[in-house]
Formats: sequence, C-alpha cells, structure tokens
Amino acid sequence: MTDSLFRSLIKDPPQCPIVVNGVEHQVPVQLSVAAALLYLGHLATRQHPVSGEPRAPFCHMGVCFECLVSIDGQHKQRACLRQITPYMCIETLMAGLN
Amino acid sequence: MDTCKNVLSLIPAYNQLEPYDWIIVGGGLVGASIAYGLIQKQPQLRILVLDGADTDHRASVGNFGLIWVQGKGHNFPAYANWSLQGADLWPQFARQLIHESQIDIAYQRQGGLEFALSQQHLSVLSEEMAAMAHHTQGGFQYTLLDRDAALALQPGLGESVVGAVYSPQDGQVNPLYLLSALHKANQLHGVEYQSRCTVENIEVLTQGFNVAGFAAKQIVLCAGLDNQRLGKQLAMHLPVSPVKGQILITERAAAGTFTYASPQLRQTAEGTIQIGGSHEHTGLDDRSSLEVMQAIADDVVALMPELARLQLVRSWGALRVMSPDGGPIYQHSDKYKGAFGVCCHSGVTLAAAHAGPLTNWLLNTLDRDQKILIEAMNNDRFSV
Ligand SMILES: Cc1cc2nc3c(=O)[nH]c(=O)nc-3n(C[C@H](O)[C@H](O)[C@H](O)COP(=O)(O)OP(=O)(O)OC[C@H]3O[C@@H](n4cnc5c(N)ncnc54)[C@H](O)[C@@H]3O)c2cc1C
Ligand code: FES
Repeated sequence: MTDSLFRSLIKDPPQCPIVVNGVEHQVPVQLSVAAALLYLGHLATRQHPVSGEPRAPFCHMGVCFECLVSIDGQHKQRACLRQITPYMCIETLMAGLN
Repeated sequence: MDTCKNVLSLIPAYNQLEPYDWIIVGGGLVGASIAYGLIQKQPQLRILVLDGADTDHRASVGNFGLIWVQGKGHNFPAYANWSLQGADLWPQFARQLIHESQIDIAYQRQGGLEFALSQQHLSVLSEEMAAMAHHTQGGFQYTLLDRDAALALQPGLGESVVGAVYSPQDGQVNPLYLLSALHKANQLHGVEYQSRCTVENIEVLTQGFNVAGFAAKQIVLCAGLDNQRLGKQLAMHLPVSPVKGQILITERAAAGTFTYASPQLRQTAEGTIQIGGSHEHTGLDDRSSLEVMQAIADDVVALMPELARLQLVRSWGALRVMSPDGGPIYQHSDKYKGAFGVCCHSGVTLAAAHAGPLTNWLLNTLDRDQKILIEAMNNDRFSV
C-alpha cells in the first residue's frame, strides 16, 4: 500500500464503510470495488499465479481478469464489475489455484 | 468487401513494374511459414503476401497451439512421416524464429498425453499408435499407460480415465505469437505484405500471373477456406471445408496445474488452461454455443476434477480448414506452371515443415525421396 494516486472529483462525497483485509475504511459511495481499492492506495491487488508478479486492475471493464479479489467470502470476483456496499468484506492478494 | 485496388497506391511504384518472384495469397500460418522458408533459402527473392481482412475466418488465430504427432496419419503413411518430420524440425525452427523476431513464442516440447475413457478407446489408440510407429519405421515413439502410470505422470486425473498414450514428440506453442513472429521476421527479411487485400480473380498471363494488379512469376494459394474457390481458377482441385472447434480459456492457474500437451487441454505459459476438442459441421458459422461449451467443460472436469474450481474467462469458435481425409494437400497446377496450392489442418504442427522441406519443393530443390513424400499428399488421393 502507498499513498493513493487517486482522489474523488466530488468535494466531500458521501462515504460508505467497507472492510479490506480485515480493516474498516471509509470510501466514497458508488465506487466499484476496484476503484475503492485504488482510492485506498492498493496499487497491487493480487499476485500472478505463475510469475508471482504483483497485479492490479487494468481494464476496469471486466475483460482482463487482473482485478480478481475475494468479496464476502466469494473467491476470484472481478473487482471492477462489483459496486461497493456497506461493510462489504474484500480480501486482496489471492493467488490462483493454490 | 475489401479489394486490392484501394491499397495499390501504398506499394512503391517500381514494384508494380517488375513481376514478383512469388505471390502468396493468404497470410495465415501456412502463407507466413512458406514466405519465411522461401526468403531464408533465397534472400534475393521478391515475395509479396496478399492477405485478406481481419474479419475473415482465420484458423491461424483461433487454434489450439499443439504441435501434435500422435495419431496424425495413422491411416496415411506419408502424413505420419511428414508430421513426425515437422515436429522434429520444430526445435531448430523455433530457435531461429525467436532469434530473428525477438518474440518468445513459448515453444515447449514437453510431451503429449491422449487420454482414454474406456478400455475400448485405449485399444483403438493402441492400434493407431502401432500403425504410426510402423509407418515411420519406429521413428514415432510412444508409451501406452494404464491408469496408474498415467496418474504417475499427471496427478489429479478423474476416475473415468482408464489410461493414456504418452509421446515425448508432442509439444505446444503460443500460436498467436508464432504468427506475429513469422510476420515480423518476414518483414525484416524484406518480404512485402498487404493486408485487407482479398483476391477475387487470378489472371493467367503468357508468363506468370496477374493477381489483383500485381504480376508474379509464381503463385502459392494459402487462403485457407477460400483455397477451394481460388484453386478452380488455376485448374487445381483443393477440396476443403470448415469444421468448427470451440475453445474455452480459464483464469490463470499456478504453473504445473497441467504439465503435458493434450488435445483436450493444455496450460499456457501465462498460466491459463486452454480447453477444447469439439468438432462441428456448421458451415461458416464460427460462433460459440452454450451447449457445446458445457459439454467441453464437462469432459475436461471428468478428466481433471480439480479444474472445476477455475473460472472461465474467454471462449471462441474457429473453423478448421479440413480436407476430406484430414491430411494436408500439396498441389501444383498441371495446367499452369508455377501455380501451387497448400491446404492443411495442422498449420501449427507443420509450420517448420512448411518453412523447411515444403519450400524446397516449391523451389524444386528437393531430393527425390522428399519429393515423393510431399507429392504423396497431393489431391490424386481424392479422385475416384
Ligand atoms: C479450433 C482449432 C484448433 C486447432 N488446433 C490446432 C493445433 O492444435 N495444432 C495444429 O497444428 N493446428 C491446429 N489447427 C489448425 C490450424 O490452425 C490451421 O491448419 C492453420 O491455421 C491453417 O492456416 P492457413 O494459413 O491455411 O489458414 P487461415 O488461418 O484461415 O489463413 C488464411 C488467410 O488467407 C486470407 N485469405 C482468405 N481468402 C483470401 C483471398 N481471397 N485473398 C487474400 N487472402 C485471403 C485470410 O484473411 C487469412 O489470413 C486448429 C484449427 C482450429 C480451427
Ligand atoms: S480490471 Fe480488467 S477485469 Fe477487472
């Protein structure tokens, strides 16, 4: 995690609580999970199962599958296709099959 | 439809005056491999590849990427020898192509497994492999595996697998990188290439051919499924028809999830599992369909139950360029000297053979035995 490179264009947007890797955060409502993770400074959200390289959401439209995370216990969800909901539990850094 | 007329202006003027030594119609794996072989053997040749539109049916961008010898030509001795020779030429071909193009085409000769789901299937495979070994004077190597032996090679096989055939001569490659590496190397060697240039008519001149405004001394038809139509214009019977195959791609999995090459599945260098194996006669309709995708997925989960945990990320259908007996067709026109046609349903497996001995055949620099082998795969076998 680093300081976020992203910020909301809306001034003082309404916030929504989400839980990322067990820690509660406030993020602007209506973000996708991928956008919320970037907003929080998660520049990498998983490791490539073959090379081990850090990976992050890339296309933000559901085709590259680089953004896989676990959401509310469901593994390998595309973070860019899901909108955050209050107290959604997100786990990053899921490795592939193993 | 795109025709060549609208791109004529892009070709330097002098090129239109002098006839090309070779025009290759079609820039798929077959046309690109042949151009690569020709220019390597005779760098002074002037070669023009005329390719169709990106919306064409192109087996070369929808295939499975196997370099597969097992069973290829068990009922066709020349094809058995040719497939084996092609696979044996691959390591050197890959080294050279990677070196020239600087594209890693992910070639691997890790051996291949063909699975049997019944004792009867295993005995059919066993007969086919024995025939292959016979046709190739023992050149084709294989081992019949019972269930335990198959499991020792590839853990995680489903209950229904009764055995398998293993051959160390099979392998795999990334077919998209292969195609772009061939095009890149060809360009570096000075082969000219025109895309969006669907050839409608070929005119026979007193010497050579006029193809969409370009003159050539010799011509090779490598237009995939369009070879049948174009062949007629040069008095060649090139009977090919489409056979659809559907392919599924999973998310990336840890390396070693599946180790070998196999017609049902392989793991790519990037980690995805590629799943296939369907054969449908649906004309030129290359769409994927839910029923077939489900059937393919069921079959592969029966083979490797643990794959059920992986998500699918992509699927597509593509049309095989199939001859009546599945073997390749290497044809020269009896009527028009300098006209050739090449059709095959194993353009990946045979890429090295096409760049190698086949281009010697086109250049008429082959020794007698090789010439007999290649000409055993002409269209005479289809005449009654
Ligand atoms: C599902 C599937 C799986 C396969 N798996 C394997 C495998 O594992 N291993 C293997 O070895 N092979 C495999 N194949 C077969 C292999 O892909 C083909 O043998 C090979 O791609 C054929 O190449 P081609 O250049 O003849 O045809 P194509 O790829 O069809 O290329 C023909 C080219 O000609 C162009 N063209 C067409 N008409 C004209 C025209 N009139 N003028 C100018 N250009 C024209 C097209 O635009 C195209 O670029 C598979 C095929 C399919 C469909
Ligand atoms: S970012 Fe590409 S699929 Fe989600």
